[in-house]
Amino acid sequence: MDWWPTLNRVAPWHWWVLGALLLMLEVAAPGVFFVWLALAAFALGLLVFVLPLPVAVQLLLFAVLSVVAVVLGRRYMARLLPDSPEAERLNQGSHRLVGQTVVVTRAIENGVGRVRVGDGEWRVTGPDTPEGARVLIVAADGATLHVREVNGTWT
Amino acid sequence: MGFTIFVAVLVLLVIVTLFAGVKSVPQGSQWTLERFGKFQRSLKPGLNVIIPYIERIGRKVNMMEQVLDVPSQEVITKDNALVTVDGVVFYQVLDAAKASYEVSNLQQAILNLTMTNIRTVMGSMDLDELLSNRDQINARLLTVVDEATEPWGVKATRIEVKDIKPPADLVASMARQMKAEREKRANILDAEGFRQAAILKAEGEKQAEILSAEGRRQAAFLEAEARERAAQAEAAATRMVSEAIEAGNAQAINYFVAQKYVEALRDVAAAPNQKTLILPIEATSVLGSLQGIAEVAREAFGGRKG
Repeated sequence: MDWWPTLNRVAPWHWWVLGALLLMLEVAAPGVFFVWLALAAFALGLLVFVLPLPVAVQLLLFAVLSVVAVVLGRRYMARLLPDSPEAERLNQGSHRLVGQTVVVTRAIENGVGRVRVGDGEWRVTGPDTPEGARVLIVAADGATLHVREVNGTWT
Repeated sequence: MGFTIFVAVLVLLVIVTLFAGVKSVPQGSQWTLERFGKFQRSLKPGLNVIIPYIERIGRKVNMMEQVLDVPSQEVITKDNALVTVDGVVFYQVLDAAKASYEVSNLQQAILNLTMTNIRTVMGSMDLDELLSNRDQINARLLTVVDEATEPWGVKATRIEVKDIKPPADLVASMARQMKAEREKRANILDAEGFRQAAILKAEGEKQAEILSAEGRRQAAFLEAEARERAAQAEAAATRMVSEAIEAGNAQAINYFVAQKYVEALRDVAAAPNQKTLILPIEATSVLGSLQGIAEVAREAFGGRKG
């Protein structure tokens, strides 16, 4: 069959078909991996269409282009497709609490105490503060918040 | 030919390398990155490129809030009641690295911690408290579990005791107790009602007695007055009669007496059980009284003639 690719002859459209197949594979098995290979295949098909190359060189170029696709993709992805502002709202963990003013429910002694946030309590570290005082959350580290006095200075 | 095979292997190697180096982390989770088995950093959601062969993915941590069912367990309360308790724990991993490497089996650790603390908290309360202070129990559990899970980068957001089931016989006694309480109240109310009714009845009777006594008293007063009046009238009549006699003749009395006498006789004669006719022993005295009448007449007429 002369339309199967052989080791002696690979036509540009072979690469394009490979690219299409890889894209379909990407949809079937998500993981943002095959898409780079597909991009490389499309680009190579274009290149081979312009100037015919030996099969071995084509394969070598395919390997190189795949890596290039990943590097370029990663570099320009952020610029081409910026994250929507909504993306930043999710799964921020304790960072979403930074900037809130809260009330101390257990006096901060030796740098450790508890504050009330919403309907729950959080462990905090900060300057020693009596119970009932208001403190400002300045940073979050896992399940521990860093606080300072509302009218104080950064600690 | 050989070069072609080499290139084909190279292509394969590149594909495998890309597969090892390009990682896209889905939203809602973080993957830990290990370099030669040592933790390096957490991969955030989105496209991540790592150094293949040197770095690999360690743990895939779910950063969403998760619900853990606490299986039901038997707890002995302070007053020795055996209750079956289950609950739920909501927790969220805030630090993927700590949750991966500070504790070996996070879910089991949280679950065991919660279960033992449920025993601790409930063992210090008696059954009535247990059934009525759930929010307090939840708060105490949360404080303890939250403190304990903090080193694992986990925030226990809430712990709820779902079901507190006392044994069936205890539930039955509780129902009985409540029924008895209500019955007691009903009985007391009944008694109160009877008491009040009796009081009211007695009050009514007392009032009636008083009123009837008052009535009798007034009647007696009035009767006495009437008798007094009658006596007065009689006295006046007697006086008038005696005055009349004094003024006139003694024979005038005879007239009256005779009239009465005859009337009485007529009455006796006309009586319905007319078997006997009683005639006064002194039948003749009737005639005598007639005589009196005659004399009166004579006196009167004679007086007029003479």
